[in-house]
Amino acid sequence: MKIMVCVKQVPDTEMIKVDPVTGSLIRDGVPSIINPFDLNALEAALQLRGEYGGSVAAVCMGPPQAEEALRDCLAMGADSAVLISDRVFKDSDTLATSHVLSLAARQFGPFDLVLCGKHSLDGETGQVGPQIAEFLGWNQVTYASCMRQTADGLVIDREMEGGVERVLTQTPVVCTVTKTHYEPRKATMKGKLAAKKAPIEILSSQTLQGLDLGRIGLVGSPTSVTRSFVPPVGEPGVIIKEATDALSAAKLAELLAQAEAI
Amino acid sequence: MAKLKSVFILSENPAALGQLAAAAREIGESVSAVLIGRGQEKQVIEGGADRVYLLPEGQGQIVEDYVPSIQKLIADEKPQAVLVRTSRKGRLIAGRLAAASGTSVLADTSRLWVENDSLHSARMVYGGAAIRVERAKGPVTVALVGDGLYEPLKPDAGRKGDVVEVPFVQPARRATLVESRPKGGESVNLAAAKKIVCIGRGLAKQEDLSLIEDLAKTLGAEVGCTRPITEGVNWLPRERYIGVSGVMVKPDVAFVIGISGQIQFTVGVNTARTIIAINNDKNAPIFKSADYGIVGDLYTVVPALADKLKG
Repeated sequence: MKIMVCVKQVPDTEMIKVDPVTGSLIRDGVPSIINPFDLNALEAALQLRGEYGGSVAAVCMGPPQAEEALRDCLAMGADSAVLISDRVFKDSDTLATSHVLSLAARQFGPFDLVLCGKHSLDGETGQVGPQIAEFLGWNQVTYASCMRQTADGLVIDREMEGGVERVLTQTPVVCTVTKTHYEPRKATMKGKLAAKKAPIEILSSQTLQGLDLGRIGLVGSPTSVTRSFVPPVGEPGVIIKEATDALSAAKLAELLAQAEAI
Repeated sequence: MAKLKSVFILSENPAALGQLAAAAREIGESVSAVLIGRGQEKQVIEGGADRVYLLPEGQGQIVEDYVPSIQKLIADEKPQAVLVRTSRKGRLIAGRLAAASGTSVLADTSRLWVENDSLHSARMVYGGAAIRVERAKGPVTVALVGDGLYEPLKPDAGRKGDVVEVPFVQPARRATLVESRPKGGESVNLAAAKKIVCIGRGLAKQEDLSLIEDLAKTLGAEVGCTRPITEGVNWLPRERYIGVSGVMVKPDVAFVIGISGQIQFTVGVNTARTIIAINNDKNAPIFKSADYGIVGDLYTVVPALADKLKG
């Protein structure tokens, strides 16, 4: 089974700071991490390779420093890594990103599976997986919690709000993956050392085959940001701190009754 | 304010079309709902749609099988906007419809409006730390609209609308359904709840949920939770998770207990009319969004409060 895993580097949201005037992200000093949900996709790929053989390629579109994210993927066990990096890709939205990743799937394929995280930590739109599938014209299964190969095709459990749906699909297929059975493994020391020296293929807009410059970056992204701002903060409320917690509770009940709040 | 000529609404759960119709009526002159199978047409028209496009039931096993049919309908009828209810399937459907129309999705909107003849969406980003106003170029805009943002219109039995049957388009490839295992037990609509008691990681163990449930019962409230309570330790189902990527709620009263008040959570609850915070850390950010706050141990405050309210 030949598998491509899409990974994204995101700012660590625990450390996020926003400019109070412009509402834009202050990137200085904010560490980047691999989108944690992409690690579930990578883990799924490694498990599938373990069971059915094949290879796992990690592919990332991002700035040069995203190489670090790919080294982490190699350390976990990916066979190869591709960084698609070029200034012209900057400000690509989900559609433009999906265009680029679908071209990578063609160039380095044929793949049986393209796996993505269920969404990114920073965008949370969950759109890239479905859009890659649409561009490739492949089947797709989102929120896959368990994947198995059978004589009839791939059997995939997908976690929906109302329960689990089990579907049978033929490859090639694009799946977005959940954590349930794919808690990411830790990289071994040996893996980390090997990853340091492993080659990473770097593609630019010139070497990515089939690229349409009109469909990437700011110009090629249908969504545009008109403005950003920081939401206003309301007036502080009443803080109750009586001698004991029971007295505080009594005071609150009294205030709520007075205000007819409940 | 100029409106868009035609807006489509789409939800795999027809019961949620009322909210989408309300959103669509704000931004569009005419509202068309896409339904799979008969039975809901009248209700959907009374709820605000001018037209129902009816796809034949039984042609697709899973809702994605209908995506090519809806793509063709959009290509033929050329609405200016398509509003899709946010859900796991909704995200997939919206993504495919948008990609096929050469556009991207305006995801997770918190408000939609028309400005300079194009649909704009305000969306919380960076876990709610900022609000970003976005628009999408192209002849059609696809937007995901979550539960609880728009109040359904009052059903109007006199409202007229037409029903147009639409042919099924065979998908080129599809996944077949092997089995479906619905989640057992309760289903909850937090977005509609008038009173909510929310719990976070201040709770030490799952058994202690009974404290919270007891207070909720006293109040006639639903129980909600933060993301770690559902995705981290799985003490409560995902439907009860309030926050930027969970349910957005708008109750009259929200008790926020053992929750520090990270913005990712507070954005889901801060439109509640009254917010009451209980936390043992006097510096917890939640006290900034609360109307009333108790600095204290939830294990003593909550039972005492339930007692007082039982009165």
